[in-house]
Amino acid sequence: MSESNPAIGVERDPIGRFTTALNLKLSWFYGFAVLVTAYEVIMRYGLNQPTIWVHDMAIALCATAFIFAGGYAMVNDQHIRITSIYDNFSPRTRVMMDVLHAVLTLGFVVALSYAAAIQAWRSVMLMETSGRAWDVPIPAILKSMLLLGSLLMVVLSIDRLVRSIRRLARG
Amino acid sequence: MSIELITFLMFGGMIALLLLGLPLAFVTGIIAVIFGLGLFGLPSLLLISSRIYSFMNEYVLVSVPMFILMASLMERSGVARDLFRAMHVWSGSLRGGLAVQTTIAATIMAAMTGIIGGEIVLLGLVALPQMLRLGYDRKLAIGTICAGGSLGSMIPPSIVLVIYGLTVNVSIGDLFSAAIVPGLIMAGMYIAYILIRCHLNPSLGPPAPEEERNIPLVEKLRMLKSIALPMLIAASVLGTIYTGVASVTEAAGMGVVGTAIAAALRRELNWKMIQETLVQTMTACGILLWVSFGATAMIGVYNLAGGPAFIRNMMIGLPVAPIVIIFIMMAILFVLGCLMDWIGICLLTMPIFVPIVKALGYDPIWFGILFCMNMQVSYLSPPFGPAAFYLKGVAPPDISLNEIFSSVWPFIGLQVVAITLLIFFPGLALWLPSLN
Amino acid sequence: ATPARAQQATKWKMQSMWQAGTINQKVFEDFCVRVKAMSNNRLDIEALAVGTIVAYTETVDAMQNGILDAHQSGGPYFSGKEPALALIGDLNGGYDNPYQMQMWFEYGGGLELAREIYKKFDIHYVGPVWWGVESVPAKKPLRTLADFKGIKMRVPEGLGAEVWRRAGAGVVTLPGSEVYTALERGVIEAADWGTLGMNQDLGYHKIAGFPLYPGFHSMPSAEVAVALPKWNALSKDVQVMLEVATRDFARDMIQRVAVEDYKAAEAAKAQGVELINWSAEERKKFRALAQAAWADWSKKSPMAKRVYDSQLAFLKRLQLLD
Ligand code: NA
Ligand code: NA
Repeated sequence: MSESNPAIGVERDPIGRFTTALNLKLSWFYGFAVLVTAYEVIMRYGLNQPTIWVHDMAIALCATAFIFAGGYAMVNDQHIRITSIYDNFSPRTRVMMDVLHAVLTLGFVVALSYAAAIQAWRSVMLMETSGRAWDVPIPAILKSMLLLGSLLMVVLSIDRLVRSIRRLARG
Repeated sequence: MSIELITFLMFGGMIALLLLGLPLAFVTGIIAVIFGLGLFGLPSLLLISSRIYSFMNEYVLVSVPMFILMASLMERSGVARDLFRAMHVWSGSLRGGLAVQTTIAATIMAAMTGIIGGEIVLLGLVALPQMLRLGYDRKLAIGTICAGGSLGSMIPPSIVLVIYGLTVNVSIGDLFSAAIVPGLIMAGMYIAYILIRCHLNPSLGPPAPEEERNIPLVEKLRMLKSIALPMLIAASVLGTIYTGVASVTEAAGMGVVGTAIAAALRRELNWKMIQETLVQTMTACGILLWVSFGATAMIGVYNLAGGPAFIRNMMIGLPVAPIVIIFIMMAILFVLGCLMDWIGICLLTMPIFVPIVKALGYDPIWFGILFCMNMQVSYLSPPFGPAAFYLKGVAPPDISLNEIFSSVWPFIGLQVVAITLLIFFPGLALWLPSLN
Repeated sequence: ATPARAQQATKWKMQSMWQAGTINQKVFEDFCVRVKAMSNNRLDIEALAVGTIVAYTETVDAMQNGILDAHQSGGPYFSGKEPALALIGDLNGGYDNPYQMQMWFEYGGGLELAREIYKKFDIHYVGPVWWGVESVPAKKPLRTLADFKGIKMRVPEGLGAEVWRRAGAGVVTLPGSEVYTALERGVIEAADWGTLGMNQDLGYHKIAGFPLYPGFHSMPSAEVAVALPKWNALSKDVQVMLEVATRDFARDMIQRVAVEDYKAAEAAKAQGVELINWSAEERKKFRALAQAAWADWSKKSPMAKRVYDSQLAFLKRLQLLD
């Protein structure tokens, strides 16, 4: 199964270290989401003064963390895989699979970055707001975050591709 | 390209790449990109980013990290270890007692949450290591957690039933009350299965050793004391949805607060532990959310290619008995359940199936429960098995996805039996709503 | 072959804001069938339900990106792109019935304003389509404006929330999927949610037996809108045909939803639900309150100001405002 594969994992790379450090910081967003949720419940049930911002704030905090967590799981090679066949390949076939893996992943995140860039550009130009009770530019921010998160994954995929190709060349 | 060919290539390609060992999140993602570009050109890529953006904006997703946080806090603070030790001792000489208690706990928790992910994560972090430590069979323990944890969306409140109700415009309250008996039947079947398996082969679920069980009652009560307060706090806070204090998703957040208070009272809470639980949450969310991002991208491209019309045409004009049509629908749901997430299946098939079901004279409430039970199967069935993914996201690293999938088959069998029961005895679902 | 058949058929993908299987989606599907017949198969619109291709909040982007050809959705969902769309979509307490606002669109300058706004997004606004009049399922009788003081009420949209906040309600922003359970358990006491007919089907009146009916606070206008290049590619006669078909679509939607509401009112009364009908006096108080909220909202953009001024003048002409 997807036991992390240190030969592929990039946690020792500058980009891997950066991703890890970034996610350590961002993980506190979940804690803030818990705190603001508790605040809403107390304000609404206890004081009969519901807020209009907590639900949207909780979504924005968690969504931002979700986006960058994709790269974090990449660094540690923890994305869900079925490896029963992969594990029975010869080492050389496995390295070739790793190259294919890196190429396809790169294809996906490059395509996603392209789309996210157009999406974010359009939203930021309008300073698009949510149109909800708490009418702030969360869409413009989150769409930009999706772009940054996918770009991070592009860099991680290139790094991974280079490593796999080097190993293939070494034989 | 015909939709038949597109369907075959998309899902065939997904399974092929998956078997080659590529991560699921990127397999579905790259298939969405390739088919999107091939069939519709560059604009289709914006469909992918648009669907991923909308998906992460769903409020209900907020409960996923919260359940992971709660579970992680319970596990790291030692509440979980003490709890299971007490359960083990208190279940006496009953074989498989711990698995039965886990299923009962899962059923009670299912009444407090409406989604599957959270519950499986909680049980996977809290119950699984303890059951393994106490000598339970791995497959039995894993299967119990995946099947029991899935009950979250079977026993009301249930997000699946809410979305079904909104999609086909039937009473959500009636759906909730109709789901209670079938949900309890499923839980009962899991318990019966555990008891029978462990009775036939005691090594699958060994009771606590004689000397541990025979400790004096005072000692047993003392064991309870150390966990009673934390459990009471966690349960009462999680139960805030019953008292009108918190909404379904907010209750998950309150559960974290309650667990943190409990850990603090046991003097086990510290900054290092909090940072560790947050990082674990980050990892699990990265794994789980990106699987869903890929899936929503692929389903979007499939829908754009005409998937819904394809499924509709398959159902139209079948010259068979009504009950056979129901079975065909169940079979289609089963197959789709192997490949897609439930919300995609609901949006894809229910607008097509339910009008046919009504025209045949069946009750849409009953069919909603059948749909919901079918989605219980979909959580477990490979290769797209969300329950397995959730468990894998938090389980000890030596538990592979293969092992999880090979553990859930008996439970899928039980679920199919339960579905068949409800098809032939609609009263099991419709009796309760008929009372009010 | 006839000459008409020789012409190329245009196929459109059009996504609505309605759940599949609802009366609204049925009316939308019927509209598409009529358009196909009227155009002698030259315009063939595929009626997609909400969420099929993109989320309901994303249809404008999808038209800009060439993923969808058209949508049948509404302004309030897109007010984050241009605040004026909130005022085009739903004043929250402005008119007494949808026909009055239809008059503003057709004869009061509304259509021109809507087209100008959507043109910024490369979209052609064909015409308004109504939903009907929304209800407020509530757990206790709310007979006057004063009764709303301190009531925990679910309202997610910006302008609507602003109006209800001024009425003294505690505005809660829960998402749609949590409204039923929250209302059942008493987390909230009322919800700005659905028409009477829809709520009766969903079983809301069993848990919140004091719905406002006939409603007045919200009668959202949606629209038929088409990606501008797709609109320009149509021949003149098909364009006019689509405009007329949209006008009939608007009428069809108002009336069929109203018929469902009448049926639901009967069924609800039979099960002991009390329908709360506000007096003309209370409605007037509500409108005055709402007007202050519109005025504030109109400061958000120059276009919002123009839409506000235009509607205010028309509401005065209708003698709904002094
Ligand atoms: Na539940
Ligand atoms: Na499955």
